[in-house]
Amino acid sequence: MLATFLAQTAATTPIPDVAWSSFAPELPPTITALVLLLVAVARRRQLLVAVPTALLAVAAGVWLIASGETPGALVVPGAVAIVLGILAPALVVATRGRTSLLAAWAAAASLVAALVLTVWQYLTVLTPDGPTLVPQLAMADAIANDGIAVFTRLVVYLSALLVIPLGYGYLQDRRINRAEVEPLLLLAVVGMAALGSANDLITLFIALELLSLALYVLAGLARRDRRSQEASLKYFVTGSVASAILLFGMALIYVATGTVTLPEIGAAVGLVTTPRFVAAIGLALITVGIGFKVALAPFHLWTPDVYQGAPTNVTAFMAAGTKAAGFAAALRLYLVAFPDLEALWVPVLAVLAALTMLYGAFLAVVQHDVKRILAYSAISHAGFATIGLVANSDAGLSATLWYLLTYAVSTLTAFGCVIVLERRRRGEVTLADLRGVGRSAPAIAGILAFALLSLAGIPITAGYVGKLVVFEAGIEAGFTWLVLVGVLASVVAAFFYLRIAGMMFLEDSPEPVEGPYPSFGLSVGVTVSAALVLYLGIQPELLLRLATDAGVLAR
Amino acid sequence: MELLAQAAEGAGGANLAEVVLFWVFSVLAVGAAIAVITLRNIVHGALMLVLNLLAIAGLYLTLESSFLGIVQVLVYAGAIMVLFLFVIMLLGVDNDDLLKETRVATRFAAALGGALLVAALLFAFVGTYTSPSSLCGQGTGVVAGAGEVLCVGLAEAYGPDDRSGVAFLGLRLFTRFVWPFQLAALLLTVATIGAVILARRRDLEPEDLDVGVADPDALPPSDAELLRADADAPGEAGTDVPGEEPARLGASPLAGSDPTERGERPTGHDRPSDADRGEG
Repeated sequence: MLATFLAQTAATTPIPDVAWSSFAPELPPTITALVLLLVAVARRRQLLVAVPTALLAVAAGVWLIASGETPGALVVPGAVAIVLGILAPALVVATRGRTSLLAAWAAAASLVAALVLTVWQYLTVLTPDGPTLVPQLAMADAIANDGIAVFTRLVVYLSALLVIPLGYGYLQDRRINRAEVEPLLLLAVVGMAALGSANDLITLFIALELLSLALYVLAGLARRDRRSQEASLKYFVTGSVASAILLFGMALIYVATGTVTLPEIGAAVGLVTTPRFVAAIGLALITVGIGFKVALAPFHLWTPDVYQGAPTNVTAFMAAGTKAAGFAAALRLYLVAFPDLEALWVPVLAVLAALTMLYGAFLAVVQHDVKRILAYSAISHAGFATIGLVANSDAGLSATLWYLLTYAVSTLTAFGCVIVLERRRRGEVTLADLRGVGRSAPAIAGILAFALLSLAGIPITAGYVGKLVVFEAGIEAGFTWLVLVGVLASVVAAFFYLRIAGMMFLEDSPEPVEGPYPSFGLSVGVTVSAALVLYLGIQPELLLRLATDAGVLAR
Repeated sequence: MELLAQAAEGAGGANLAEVVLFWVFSVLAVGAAIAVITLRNIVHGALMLVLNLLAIAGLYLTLESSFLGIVQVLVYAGAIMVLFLFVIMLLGVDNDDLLKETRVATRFAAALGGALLVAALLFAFVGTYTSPSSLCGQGTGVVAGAGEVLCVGLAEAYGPDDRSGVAFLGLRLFTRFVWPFQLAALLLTVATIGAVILARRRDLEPEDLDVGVADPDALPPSDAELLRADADAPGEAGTDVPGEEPARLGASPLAGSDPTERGERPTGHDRPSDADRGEG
């Protein structure tokens, strides 16, 4: 009976092929996260986990290289698998039982692998002939590998890769270097990447929950610190409410259009048979939910407390990665699914963007805690990124993607410096604590000032180019008033960024300040991200072109 | 009422047993839902919620959606309600502070919000799905512009062999929705890790991690020190949780280490003014 049933169903519904290349970049972090959990459980018998993993990975890699349709087609993924496989026991031996060190190196290696596979996917799968990107739908249309997906992967994997060295020493100092940190970070990053390529509402929601859930736990990592616990709880409660609202909106969209796939929703919304009122309510609820996740102005209330309370490396990751992934989802939702309702969402989002920019900038002025200042700056930057979304054009799309990249590297640099200063202060850093830092630790003070200049949008930094392209897209789309508001907000923001720099360099500290304690990982992380800020500010052509090419949507 | 009856006969069957069952289950569901928010005893409220969920499962069954009905009983009436009752029992049955929302403005806002929600739902669903020119007429597919069928009846969706929809659901999960299905597996992994982290009491004890740093003075304060500092200054800026002992956040309430917390919790009777207004 079962056999006949299977025969029948197999005949009626063909089992689709698994397009491994469509989610290849997500595989190394996922597998590494799961293996790291096993390693953490294995305690002294770590090699018992690492060696079989290595054998499996090497075998898979050899099989991949040998099995490509044309010779050499799958050399890169095969090589990645082999290298990661060999690294597993090598790292176990090299770290000699220090699990958190092992986890940090393994996570970093898997993220490098993810970046390599993203580039490989872009070069071979998505641009088979010539520079134009051919969007690819895969896994029964659940994944759309277009420009948004590729660029989001680059940004989130890069952010996570930078966060790992920044966080390693910090977590040890606070004695919260638990074995679960890296797996959670990796799974959160997988959720972000999946969110960037989600092509239907269900995938979008699950990916959003995946990254949110991991971040709720990471925010409350410091069990003995009430601020961290408070941050986790606040983030969890408000985020759950936002998710519920988002889900309600999605349900209404399904009611109105009868489909969950974004391009089909886009096609159905324009039909006369579609109840537009229901679709509009759904869109409004979705806007609330997404606005919550990326901290747009009326829905931002959780941000300052959560950013201040969470461990600083988690805050940096939240600011850089969640924003990129959330905006990727927003871009795809609005541009693919709701182009026919643009008369509704464009003005609303324009007002939200203006509110967000001004609110974030003005409230940052009156803050004293440096992490809190950066939190309000994160709110303000969400407004700037929204300008590109409001522009509702290909130029606006690539502008927002580019802006998120520049914001990610700038804010990672700034938070990295905050980690160094926190280490030095043995606790929180307020504005007053920054006095005299420019004299006692000129390198850190210089890099922090540079990152803040980038956040403010001063030339030769990445942030300048980011603001430039976003404003350009806004003016092109006719939102001159919004751009003017943005310029005003930038001026206000420049004030408090420069005030931090002034505190460091112009004021003397009342008591002698001890030297900084940057660890090896911190120095590497901060230096590399600062170099990226400089590179993106001076030589933006390569990645800017990629962002422009990425302005191709899988519609 | 006429509208509801119309909805009850919606599937075109108009068979008497279906209509009777619909009315029985819907009256049960609505009545139990009202009882949930009006009953004074919170345990009774929870049991009424069970009744409500069971009645909704019955509604699913009358709609020939047996799988959904069974899942409703298993997940909601079973697992989630057990969790609810657990929490209620742990917090103390007599702790009915939550029931005394007396501010008129709050009540008004709640009523307004509820009315708006009902209006939006009625507007969205009733006009769209019950009018003669509705999108999905009585179980027949409607062909949309691109030649795709927007809505089909259950019989068409399930196929001839499978009256409950389980095979249909499984096929959809493993073909069309295989990617979100895999992501959901990761989501459950993350949830499990999070539960383990939150449930481990060992993290709250100060000296259990060997950091292996040569000079402890060169370190920022550990979390234990921060905790001590917080305990000294409870109302410090940046924390909005007044008087909440951080250590208790993760401590198992079953441990009962704090005798004042168990059994001797002040009840609402200590505040007669609140209690009096609460009766109204």
